[in-house]
Order: sequence, then structure tokens, then C-alpha cells
Amino acid sequence: MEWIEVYIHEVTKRLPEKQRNDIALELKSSILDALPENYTLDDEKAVLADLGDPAEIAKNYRDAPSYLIGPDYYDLFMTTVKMILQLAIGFAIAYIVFEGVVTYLDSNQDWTYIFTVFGKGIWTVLSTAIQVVFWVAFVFIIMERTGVAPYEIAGTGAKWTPDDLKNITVIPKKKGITKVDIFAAFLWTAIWGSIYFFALDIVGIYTQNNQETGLTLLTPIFNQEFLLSFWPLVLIVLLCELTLTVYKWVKRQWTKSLATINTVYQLLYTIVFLLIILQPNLFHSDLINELSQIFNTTAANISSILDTIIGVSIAVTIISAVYASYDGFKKSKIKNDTLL
Amino acid sequence: MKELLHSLTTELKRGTLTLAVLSQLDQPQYGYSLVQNLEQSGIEIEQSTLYPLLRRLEKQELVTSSWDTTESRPRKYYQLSDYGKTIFAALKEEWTKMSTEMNLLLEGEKKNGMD
Repeated sequence: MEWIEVYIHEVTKRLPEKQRNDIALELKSSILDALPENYTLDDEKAVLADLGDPAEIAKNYRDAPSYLIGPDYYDLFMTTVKMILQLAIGFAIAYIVFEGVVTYLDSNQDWTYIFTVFGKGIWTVLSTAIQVVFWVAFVFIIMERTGVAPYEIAGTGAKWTPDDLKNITVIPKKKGITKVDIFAAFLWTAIWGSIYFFALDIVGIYTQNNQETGLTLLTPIFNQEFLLSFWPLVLIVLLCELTLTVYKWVKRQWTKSLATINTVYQLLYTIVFLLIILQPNLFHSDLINELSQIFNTTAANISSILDTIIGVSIAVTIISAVYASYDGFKKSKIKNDTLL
Repeated sequence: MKELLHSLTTELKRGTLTLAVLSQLDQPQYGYSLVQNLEQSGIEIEQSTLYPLLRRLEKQELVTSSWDTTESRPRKYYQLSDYGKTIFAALKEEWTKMSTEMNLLLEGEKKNGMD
């Protein structure tokens, strides 16, 4: 008798409490039915062997699926995880680069600091990946249990027909946006953002000194305090740039809406750039003096050279903004190749 | 190869289990008697599959159950519900149709093979 009780307990302990009593009673009655009269321990064992592993029978009794994410959701789960992983890791890397550059410039780290950043980067990417997989899985497990069918959440919700094949297109190379483009864009934002916000004071004219430290700052180029007073505008530009990059990432190709957004961004960027660069006290007050000493010429000369540089930068910025906007629209007009 | 054959055979049988069980439940049956009945007809079904299957059929309202406490020990009896009878009849028809078609198909293959 004890053997049977232990066996039944092994089964029911794996089941929801509500069902335990009833299943225990039924199992016991079935087991006793299978036993001969005046049975021995060996008989009991034989019957139990026939019933098999308690875990197996408990699994058969359970109504809930014995998997976390079933075949219906698997594909969707994998696509979602991949997509979000890329985004999250991209952001993690951008953040690490940003933070690394800032810390490097802020405190007098030597070049081996790159290893610290690298190590931290690996750790951050790993923990980001774990977080992403966990949370996406969490959502899917809930969906699996609440029974939302995948096609109900998949965009159109319509059933597949052969005509859908006509919508399958290949993005032509010229129209597409590669991951390298995206990465470069994030990196660029991270670099200029960190220099602007944290390191304007060390962008400057350096001179070789005789000590081992190498370089001495003669004068910063820009008037940091003044430039930083524009920070809300610059922050807006930075956020727009990030948004644009994320949008590119999602679209993976130039479309009319992307080209429009791109144009708006280029316009905004150019306006802010002009607004800042045309200010009279853009440069550090020592700059002209130091430069005229270095090049052995008058302050007036240096100032006119600086004016020329400003003029050229303005021209280059405007031309490149116009070209980038135009290029976006041009690329967006390239037709996708259909396969049918 | 033996393993593959075994898993394919199991898969083939699995679909027919419900039908086999339903066919025996015109009269009230308890778990173990059902095992024996099926076994006598040459249909082997693991007890670990059958007992949970009975509960599932009950949940799907194809069978009803009642505890009989009159005998020496209580037994749970299962019997087809009216709904279960309808479903069983339909399934049976489906089975007859399918087995005829399958037989034709398999016979045909045999003939082709002999050519």
C-alpha cells in the first residue's frame, strides 16, 4: 500500500491543487483494479511499472502546455528577439562609446583606458542581450498562455493568399540602408555629442613640450561657455539625429517619408549650425593671439583667415545638407524589385 | 531505423486513440476495464495516456463521469454524453471514409509495385 501512496503522491504533487484529490482517488482505484487479490509487493511494483514514470503521467494530466513558447509563436518570437537585440545592442554600444569618450576626455586617463571601456562594453552588451531575451520571452509566454493568436498581432491580421507573393520585394542596393551605415551614424552622434557637451575645452591648439607628458594646451579653439549656452538647441538636434537613425534602422531603405524626415532634420541642423557659427564670440579669446604668434603674423590676418574658414564651413554645410536631402529623395524614388 | 519506425507508428496510432476510447464508452466503463477491453481488441494504450485522456474527454463534454461507491471500492465510471455520441458517430464516419480511401491508395501502390 505504501508504494502506491508514494507513487500517487509523486504524480499529484506535480498537478494543480484543485485536481489533486480527484486524480489521486481515480488513480488509486485504477491501480487497485489492476492488482490481483492478495497481491504481493512484486505485484504492486509490476503495476506501477506498467503505469510508468509519475512525471510522465502528471504531464499528460496537465492542461497547461508544457512549453514556454510553442511552435505558433516561435517564429514571431525569434524575429522579435533579433530585431530588438540589434536595436538594444546598438544603443548599448553607442552609449559605451559615448561614455568612454566622455570619461577619457574628462579625466586624464592614458590610452590603456580603451581596454577598460572594451571590457565594460562586452559586459554591457551581454547584460543588455540577457535583459532583451528575458523580457521578450516574458511577453511571449504571457501571450502563449492567454491565447492571442500570432496572426492577430501580426500587422495586417489578414490570412495569407498567393497574391501576397506579389508584395515580396527586394531592396536594391542603392536604396537600402546597411547596418554599417546605421552603426556609423550612431557612432558619429555619440562622438560629436560627447565632444560638444563634455570636451569643448580640450579641442585646442597644442604644443609639444619637453616633458614626458607630450602635449601642452596652448589655448582651446572655442569659447566653451558661450557655445554651451546653446545646449537646448544642440540637444534637440542630437535627439532628432538619433530618431532619424532609428527610423532608418527600422525602414532599412529610403522611402519618401524617410527622405522628408531627413530633409527636415538637415534643415534644422543647418539652421542651428548657422546660428551658432555666425556668433561673434565663437572662438576662445586667446585663440587669435596664440595663432598670430605661432604663424608670426598679425591678428588681423588671422581673423580674416578664420572668417574664411567659417565661410567655407557654412558653404560646405549648406551644400552637403542640400545634397543629403536631394540624395534621400533620389534614393527613395528607386523602385523596389518585385520577384513576380 | 527501428526508432524512426517506432515514432512514426506511435504518431499514426495517436490520432486513433480518441476514436478507440469513444467506441467503448456506449456503456459505462471505469479506467482499468477500458484498458482491458481495448487490449482484448488488440489496441494497446498506455495507462498513463488513457487516464488523462478520459479526463480530457470529460472536460470537452464528450463523456460524463460518476463515482460508483456501491462496490467494495469506489470506481469512476465514464460514459458517452449525447454530445459525445454525435461526435463519435461523425468521427466514425470520417474514419470509415478515410480507411477506405487509404486502403484503395495502399492497394494501388501494391499493384504498381508488382508491375
